[in-house]
Amino acid sequence: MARQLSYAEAINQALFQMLEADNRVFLIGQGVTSPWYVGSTTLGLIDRFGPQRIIDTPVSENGVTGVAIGAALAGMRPVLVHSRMDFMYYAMDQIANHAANWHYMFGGQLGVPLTIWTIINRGGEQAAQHSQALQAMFMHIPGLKVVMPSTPHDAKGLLIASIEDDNPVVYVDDRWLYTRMGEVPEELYTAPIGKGVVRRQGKDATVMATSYMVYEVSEAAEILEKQGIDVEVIDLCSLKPLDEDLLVGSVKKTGRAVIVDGGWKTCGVGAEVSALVVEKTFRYLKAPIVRVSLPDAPAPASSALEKVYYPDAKDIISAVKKVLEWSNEGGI
Amino acid sequence: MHVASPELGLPGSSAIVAGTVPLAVGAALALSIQGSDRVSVAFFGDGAAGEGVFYESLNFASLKRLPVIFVCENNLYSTHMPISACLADTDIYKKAEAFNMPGVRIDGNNVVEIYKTAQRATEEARRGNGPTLMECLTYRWRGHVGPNYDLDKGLRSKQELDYWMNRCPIKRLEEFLLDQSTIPDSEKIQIHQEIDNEIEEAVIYAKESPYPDQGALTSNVFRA
Repeated sequence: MARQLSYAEAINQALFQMLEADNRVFLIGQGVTSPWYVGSTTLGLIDRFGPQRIIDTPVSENGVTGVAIGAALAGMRPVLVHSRMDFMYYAMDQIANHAANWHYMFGGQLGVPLTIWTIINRGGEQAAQHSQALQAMFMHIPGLKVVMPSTPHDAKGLLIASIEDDNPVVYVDDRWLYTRMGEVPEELYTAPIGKGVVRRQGKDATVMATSYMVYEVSEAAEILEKQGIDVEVIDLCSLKPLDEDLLVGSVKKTGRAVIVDGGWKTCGVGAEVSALVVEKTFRYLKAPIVRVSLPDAPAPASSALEKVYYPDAKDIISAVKKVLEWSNEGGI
Repeated sequence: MHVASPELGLPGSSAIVAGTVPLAVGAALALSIQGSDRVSVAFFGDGAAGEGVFYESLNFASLKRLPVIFVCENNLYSTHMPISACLADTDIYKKAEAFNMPGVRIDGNNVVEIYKTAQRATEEARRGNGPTLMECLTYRWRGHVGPNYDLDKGLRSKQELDYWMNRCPIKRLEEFLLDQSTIPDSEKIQIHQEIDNEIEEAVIYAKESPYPDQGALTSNVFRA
């Protein structure tokens, strides 16, 4: 019987179970033993598994990322933490030049079974260098998989799937998700990488969302339902590979699409998904696709500006109405 | 550029300067978690001493006393730049001191000295005493990527090149072995013959090997 766990507890359980089940697994990164960095996700791990497998590190993002890759090449399955996505810029060389390319460069001789777990630390006046959502950048790089679970169930299942995968996987979560509750089976299980989930069936428009934005979309869908608008909600779950069949099938059915992501607009997740959907469903589309995203601006420090910076259910409702009300005469 | 031989313990090489230095530290971390007595070795050039990740790696390896040896092949040039134009302090082995680990500078063209130094470093690593930085002074005969000598480009002098070519490490090893009467002349001839044959076979193999077919373009992006 599945129990109710928070998202943070689901991550904790996945780590516990994988460290227990597979002695190749270890956790490494800045702040892995500190609630300041990773919230409650690693509670109890250091006591159970010790400092040899729960390795808190100096502030050396690129070096420590290389260390994790090297350990993966030597037979381990590390989980590397970048506790703020912003810090990954320092580690871009090791992630993009090394982890992502290694299997290809050596003709498939060597894989890098590495999970890069990273946290979007949006809001709370954390500002431009501590709030960034960079999933689109990693989606761009061949050789990396990218997952963004929204529910506690998928937080656990996708983390286990990432650790078991023979490729580098960027596992992105969001601080705002950590207290979300949901059913999480006790046993060790995986959620498939590359598969999306229909969170709500609908016929009027398809709304695709990532990570925390799935909750804003669900809220919007409930409000729209009361107004007689029936949207289909798809949680992308994996950004790379994308669940192309699911997205395409849904948009063919509804003829209208809104894409909601918590990153920037230009070259963002919405841009890629939108292009893909148009390529595959052009003749089914009844209106242009609308993207809901962050504006192309750094995260502000002011809480007053944060309120307009981060899109919410209201923005999604207005995007859905745009695609529904669009006409050849009026435009969007 | 992309040399790898997992069966020989070489899990790859990188075209990014200092790129594999942290990987070797990671391999050492894996070995220590696995309880293995194996030792990891990072090979890199003097140019790596200009990269931040080099220092991050030295610090982490020494902090965790990992079984890794850092081997700097200092050939005095970083592409076209002489080392004096790159580093405020050209004594690379001294960087070790800042990270609380031993650093030694040796003649990188003396095979026996390298062997002895590496043996000591390996023993220390196996005893749990952590990493060693070895700076091996050597020289790059050819230009940055060859095939010429960079004399025509005015990047270095003929005198300097001659000095180092006379200090050829292989020729010196041969002289050492003959002096010590470790090997007879007949065996020397046989070794030369074997090496020539191996090179010739490799060249023939390379020339006769087909180009990859188009399917190979995307087949290794992910490990299935």
